[in-house]
Amino acid sequence: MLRVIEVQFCLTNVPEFYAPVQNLTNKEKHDILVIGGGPGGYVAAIKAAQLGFDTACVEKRGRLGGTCLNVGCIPSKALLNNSHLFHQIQHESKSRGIDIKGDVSVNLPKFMDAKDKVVAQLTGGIEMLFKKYGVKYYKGAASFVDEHSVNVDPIEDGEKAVVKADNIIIATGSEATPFPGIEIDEERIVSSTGCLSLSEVPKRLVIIGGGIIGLEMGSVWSRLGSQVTVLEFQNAIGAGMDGEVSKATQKFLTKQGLKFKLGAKVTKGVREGEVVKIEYEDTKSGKTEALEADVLLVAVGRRPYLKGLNAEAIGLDIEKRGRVVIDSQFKTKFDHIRCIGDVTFGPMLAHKAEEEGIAAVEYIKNGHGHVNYANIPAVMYSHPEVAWVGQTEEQLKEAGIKYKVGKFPFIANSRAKTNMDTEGFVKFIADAETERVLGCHIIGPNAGEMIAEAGLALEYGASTEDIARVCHAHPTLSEAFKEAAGSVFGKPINF
Amino acid sequence: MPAMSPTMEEGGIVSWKVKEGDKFDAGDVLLEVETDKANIAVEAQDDGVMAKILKQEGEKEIKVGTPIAFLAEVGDNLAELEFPEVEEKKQEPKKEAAKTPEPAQPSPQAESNKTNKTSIPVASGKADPKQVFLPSVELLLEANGISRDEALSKIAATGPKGRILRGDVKAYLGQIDSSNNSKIAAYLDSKSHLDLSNIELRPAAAPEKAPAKKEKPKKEPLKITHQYVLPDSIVKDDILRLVSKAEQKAYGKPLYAPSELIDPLFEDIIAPPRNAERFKINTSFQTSVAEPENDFDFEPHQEVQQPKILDVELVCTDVVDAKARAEMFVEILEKYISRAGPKIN
Repeated sequence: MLRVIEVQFCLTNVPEFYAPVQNLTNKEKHDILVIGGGPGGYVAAIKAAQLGFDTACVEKRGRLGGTCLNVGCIPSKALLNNSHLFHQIQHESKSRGIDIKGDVSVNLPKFMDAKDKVVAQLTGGIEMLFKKYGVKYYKGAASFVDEHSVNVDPIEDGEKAVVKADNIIIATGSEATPFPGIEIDEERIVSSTGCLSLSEVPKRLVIIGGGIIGLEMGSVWSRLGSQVTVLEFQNAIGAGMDGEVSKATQKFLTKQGLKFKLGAKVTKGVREGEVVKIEYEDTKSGKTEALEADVLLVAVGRRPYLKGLNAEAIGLDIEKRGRVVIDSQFKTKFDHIRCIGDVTFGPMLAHKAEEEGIAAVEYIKNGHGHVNYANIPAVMYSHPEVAWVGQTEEQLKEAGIKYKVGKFPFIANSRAKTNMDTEGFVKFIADAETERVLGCHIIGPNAGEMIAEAGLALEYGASTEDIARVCHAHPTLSEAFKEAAGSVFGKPINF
Repeated sequence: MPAMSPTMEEGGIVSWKVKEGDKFDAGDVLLEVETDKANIAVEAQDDGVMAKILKQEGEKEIKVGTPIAFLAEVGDNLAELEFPEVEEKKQEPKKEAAKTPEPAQPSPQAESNKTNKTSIPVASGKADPKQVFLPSVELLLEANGISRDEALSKIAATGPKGRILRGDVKAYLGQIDSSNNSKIAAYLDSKSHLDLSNIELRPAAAPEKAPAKKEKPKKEPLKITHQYVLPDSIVKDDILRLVSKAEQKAYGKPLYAPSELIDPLFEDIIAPPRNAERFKINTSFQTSVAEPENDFDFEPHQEVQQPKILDVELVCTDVVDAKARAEMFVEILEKYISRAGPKIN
């Protein structure tokens, strides 16, 4: 902003013919340039502008919001919510006393339209926020020229520019990790992106990877009528979940009709006409088995994305898994270039990137910022939802810390009962001597919303007694949360 | 015996670096501790005096939490100090520091600061005097007749930012081993950072360049200037009235047209207060001598100060919407002035 105004000064003070030249050279210098307009980048840009920096953000997708908003969290939640509604109408209306005359069916094109509309509204919303806070938005692909300047190769109606900045924040995110030997065509063999906009409901959907993305997509298409098989190399689904919760989740999803093959090492996935042929090896028995699918989803994780950034030009340090090397203040080897989100270390989660975006800007402004990596929640939006924060039993065993567990099932919760939605439980893990909360794991209705309370407890060092002594409204699902906390050392009232 | 790692249960004393009666400053190495893994130097957290060494050099298999020495505050008269009795398992609650020394219980933070640059202190031990107690803490204090002042001054806090936790009170009451609290705090602290150790670099593709250091330009307040051509027959006072009217309007008018994404109520809540200064207005007039209307008019020339041009300079403050409101002012004033038009007398 400062620069632009300087130009206005020039216009009044210098002979007219100089003015356009001044305009061109001055305009593209900013205090902070954010590369990438995803949840990490756009949040960093807005925060920087709010803190008074002349801020710009480069994004080459054509829409802000990154993977999360365009082809990740947001569209998948639209599909999950609407498919759940459909599933409920189909399977539960009778028991709830609702008669339906005629057929209940999904109109897939309109089903997808509803999702696209939400995405368009939200991405447009960020662009408006940029305008509101005066963040300059460069539509195009950024590549480093030197440590202080970045070339913007325009897309659509973007402008070509060489942008200079005192501080640069790299927030280029991640992309789906390809599976060696399997070629993704986004039609029959798809990544999570293609799986969000299939043109018809596949009869058979096979998913490689039983992580959050695989299980959410499996839930959507299973509700819409697909026969879903999940192939997971590990011996548990839900990568990183507490062991007990992982097992319970598998049980609930199996009940919904998903099939699981654990310890399955996929060796082949080839499209033959309109069919995908898959082979996998059962790592326990060593036998090779074959499968056919109409659609194969490859969801084996994500990897840092730096394509086209020309990071080599400035010799940015990158470690062997492709992550940009940073220090505790998100600085790369250059003090003025910081890096946040999926493209660097830590869990690849939108909310983690957001926290880092704010912290990185605060480091630039004040020299300190705050991200507590011991308190980053994770949520899987299956039904029942799964959410957790803090330590798992497995982690505490490994660290040799004595703990106690308290659990409360939703079947004993009045609100869950009235909703006829009683699967799952709340589980607390607390230090055996002090009752300090070390972790909370929820599987059940609204787990994703409820986990925020556990995050607050962790951040303040609360004990389970502290939670049990806080009044929770009746009748709510959150009473199960309170009861679980109370049952770590005492006894629950309603169970 | 301080816990130097979350898993450490006992340790030995390799050597004392201070003698009884020696003064030390915060950060000085007090002793070297031997664990099953390594020898680690223990630093002092505060300035003080070594009052009494309980466990001598060479002693091994000392359980974590066992007092190994008494530290006194600077200025304490060592000869007059009474030392509390030391039990083997339970740790004595800390007595008033001025009269009796505290058992040496440096937190593992000293060690983690040395080995891990990214570590931030968690278990400083000093309770935040302004804290609101957690319900469990308040109840425990009341049940045991401990006043708020006593709790804040004497209980070692292991919670985030000096928060006294339930476990801290229990340790103070001697119900649990205090080392457990610092062990948990140290463990959670270790998890609160990204693990940036043992990074294996991918081979670099291009030669490296040294980072260029650059001085940051100083920020100047934002200035917006605008020139208004004034209609004839408008007097200075009228213009100044219009300026203040436009200023009021620019402060009060909503910045955004209502839409699905903008909720005026919410905007009101997050917006800076309406009376916060957004910009200062500097006005200056360029006047001209009024020309006689008719050359054939033989009346003597009368010089009339008739403003022709108004220069406005707006100096914006740091308030978030200062620029937007200043721009709005420019527009509004433009409208007012054009509306003022030539007046019919």
